[in-house]
Amino acid sequence: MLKCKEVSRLVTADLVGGLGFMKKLELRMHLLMCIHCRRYVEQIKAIGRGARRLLVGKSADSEQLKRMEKEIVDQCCGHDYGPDGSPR
Amino acid sequence: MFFTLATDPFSGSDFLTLLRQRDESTLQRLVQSYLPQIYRAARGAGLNVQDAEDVAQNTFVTFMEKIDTFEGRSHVRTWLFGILYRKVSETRRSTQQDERAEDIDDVMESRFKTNGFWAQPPRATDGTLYDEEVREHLDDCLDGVSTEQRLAFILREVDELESEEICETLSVSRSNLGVLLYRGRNKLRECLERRNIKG
Repeated sequence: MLKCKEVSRLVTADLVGGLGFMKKLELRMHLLMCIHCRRYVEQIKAIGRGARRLLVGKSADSEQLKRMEKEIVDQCCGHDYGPDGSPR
Repeated sequence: MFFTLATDPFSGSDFLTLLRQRDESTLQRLVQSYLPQIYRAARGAGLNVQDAEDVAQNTFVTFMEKIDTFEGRSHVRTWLFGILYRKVSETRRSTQQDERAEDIDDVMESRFKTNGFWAQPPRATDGTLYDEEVREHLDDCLDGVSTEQRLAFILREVDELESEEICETLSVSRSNLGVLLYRGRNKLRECLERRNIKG
């Protein structure tokens, strides 16, 4: 039988694809029976959802992206501009 | 490999040749495809808007400077994320202390009894209420997570990259990645619990 302590590690090991079929099955069985570990998993999942939401809010807007893109292309493709802003 | 699909415009040798010739429209396509993700990851790793913009731009500039040494064995995105990771680490190291004792392992140890059962089980939380708590405190709690753990967490949870690609980006083994994610996730969970323990 898996213990809760081990379950807390296996939940993340499973995420990186480190669990074989039998361990996965044991993990599922444990989660079916253990309310504490189910809560743990629910919280971990909610944190992932929260991170996605947080970063949607921090994404660059189109104007910002255009400005950065121009800087990158100018620096990399060796553009040289005259004082009036037009390419030489 | 899942990267080398024929439909991927950034995997062939033609694409690399054009980039090496500093072909502007090819570079533009590359930037348009990956800049949003690179910038978002820089923000997620803890940089402010200005630093994230600088680091995101410099990631592409460095990529182009090193394009001649890029052999195409990994995907360009993986390479870009790898450069980003190094730049974020440098920037964060110079602005704040990034090395903290790994006390999360001790905290997790104390969560369990010697027989392996929970000594302090996770609180009962109503789903939407917990989402609210996460929304309120996650950004602050992320500050306590190291750059490496943050990026592992972001690339996995937000960008949903495969483990192989994250391992390559951070130059870690799969089991190391597991440890990074385990520590990062649990630090966040513990931090949220401390902040909302009021009952």
